[in-house]
Formats: sequence, C-alpha cells, structure tokens
Amino acid sequence: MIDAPTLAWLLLRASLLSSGGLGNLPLLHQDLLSRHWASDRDFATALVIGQVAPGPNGLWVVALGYLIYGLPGAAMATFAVTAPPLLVVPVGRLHRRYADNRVVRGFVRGLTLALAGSVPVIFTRVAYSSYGLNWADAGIMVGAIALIATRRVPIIAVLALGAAAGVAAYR
Amino acid sequence: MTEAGPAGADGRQLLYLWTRIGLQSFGGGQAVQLLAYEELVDKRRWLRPEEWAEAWGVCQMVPGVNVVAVAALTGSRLAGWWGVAGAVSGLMVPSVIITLLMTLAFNLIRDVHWVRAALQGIVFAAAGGSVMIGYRLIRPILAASGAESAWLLWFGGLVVLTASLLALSGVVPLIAVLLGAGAVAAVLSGFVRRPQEPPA
Repeated sequence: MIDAPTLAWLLLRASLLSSGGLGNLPLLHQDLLSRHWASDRDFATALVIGQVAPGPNGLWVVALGYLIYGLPGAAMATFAVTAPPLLVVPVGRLHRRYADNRVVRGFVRGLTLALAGSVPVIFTRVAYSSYGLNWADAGIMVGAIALIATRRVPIIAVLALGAAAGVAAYR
Repeated sequence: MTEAGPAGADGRQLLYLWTRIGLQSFGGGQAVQLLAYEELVDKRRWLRPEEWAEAWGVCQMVPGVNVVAVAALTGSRLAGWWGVAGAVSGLMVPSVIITLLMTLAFNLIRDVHWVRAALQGIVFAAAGGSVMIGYRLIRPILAASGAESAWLLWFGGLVVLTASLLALSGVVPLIAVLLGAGAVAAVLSGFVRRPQEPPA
C-alpha cells in the first residue's frame, strides 16, 4: 500500500535535489519502483503525457501522481514541482553575494553533471522496460536525436513523427 | 497592493500573460522559454535582454523546474509577491488541469492497439530528446570548467561517465551519486588555483 506522507516526501525530495523538467526522473524511478508503488509503464505513460501536454515538461510528474495515487497523488506532485522553484525569489536577492564562490559553484556543477549523465540512461531504461527495444525503436530514438540537434524542428513535431513511426512499425 | 513594475505590469496582467504562454507551449520547456522571451522582452519591454539573461542564470541555481523559477523571479521583479502569484499560477493551473484530463483519457485508451504503437514511438523519440537535453546541460558546464582548469574539465567528463554507468547498473542509490558528485566537485573547485590565462 502507498503511504501518503512518504509519497509526498519522495516527490518533493526528488524535485528539491534536481533541476529541469526531467531532473527528478532518476530519483523517483529508483524510489517508487523499489517500493512497487509505480511500474515502468506508469512512468512511460506519464513521460509521454508530459511531453505532449501544454506547459512545462515537469508536469509529467503530475500525470505520474495521478496514475499511481489518483487526485491526491496529482495534488502532491503539483506541490512538489511548484514549491522548490519559488526559492528563486530569496536566492535572486542573495545571488550577487555568493555567485562567485568557487565551492558553491563547484557543488552545483558536479551535481548537475551527474544528473545530466543519468537522466538519458534512466529515460531509455524506462522505455526499454515498458516496450522492449528493437531496431525500429532504436531508429526512432536516433532519428529524434538527429532532428533535435538541427534545432530547426520543433520538439512537438519530432514527437508526432515518433508517433507516426510507431504506428507504421507496430500496427 | 500591487507594486507597479517598470512599465506598469501587475499581478493580474502577469496571470493572463503566463496563462497564454503556458497554454500555447505544447512540447515543453524550450517552447515556454521562447514564448516568454518574446512576450516579456520583445513585445512588452517589461524586461531588458540583459535582465532576462541574469534572471535566467539565477534560475539555474535553484532546484526544480526552471521555467517555474523564471516565472517566479520575473514576476517578483515586476510586481512583487503578487507578481509571483500571478505568473506562477498562470503558468501552472491551466496546464495542470489539461495534463490531468489527458492522463484520464490516456488511461482509458492506452491498451488500444494503435494507441500503444503510437505511445511506443513517442517514448523512444522522447528518450532521444532526453539525450539532447543532457547534452545541452553538460556542454556549457564542461566549457566553463575547462576555461578554469584542464583538471576540472577531465573531472567533469568523468562525473558524467560515472553517473551514467551507475544509473545503468542501478546498484548505488542515485541520491548518493548526485550528492557525492557535488561534494567532490565543491572540494576540487576550492583547491583549483585562479583561472589560467586563456591561450592566445
């Protein structure tokens, strides 16, 4: 059974320790799967909705909250993604004093690099565990990387092409 | 008691503006950034480009979704706490409602065969997108570290590689990996001497 306060804390902690819309994915994946509170399929569905829905990508976790714990889960997830960024208001005031501190900057950089290295790995693992991986999947992934790297194709068009390729390959 | 911003922006205007930005930006963070820049800087001139850039830099230093931080910080600069409330709820409330409705709908149809096929295509396209997001985070940090010292550049590359391998193996709690990388990088950065003269 899902324990509500723990779920709320895990959602908030993942958001507090990460940045960017997908930064909380690796931690949540580890925390929720090990407790059997969410499946890889829940993650895959939530990530797709987050990409397709309007607003920040970070809202994928609202979909995840709903899938695993209904409306209360969605509410917890919404709070978890909204509250930590509000720290920017006090931080904006402190910024000029500490921006040049090497140790602070080093910590943020090290954490961001580790996060940036693990997010694509976890994302691919979620996709793999939900759907397996074959040549068509790998082709779609490589094609998406190439299209996004050109910076000419909007991300939503890349996803639409992915959907069309999926239907063509597996219908 | 709304403080008037430079060009008379208030909480309610920010609420409407960010609602529009949020609802128009299918496809996530980058779309939101582009639209917000157009509206706040180009069209309304509520912020100068350098103010926008500074705000953006500060937003990279706080946890969570960057776009929410951008809405909060620019809202606060333009109209105090009412500006924060207006901008953040404008960005979040309508988008959260639509996300929930889409989740409900997806949940009903996700076992239909062609929906499953389309989802599979989107998941792998989005996985490719996450590779590019990672790359765009890593590159500027490595460039900045390399400008300070070659050791930091090598160390940064090592952190990325180690973290991705540990994430792949799944044996070490990721939180330990993240905090450990931050702690070691903090110590190393403290030791590295002043930036070298850039090569001519």
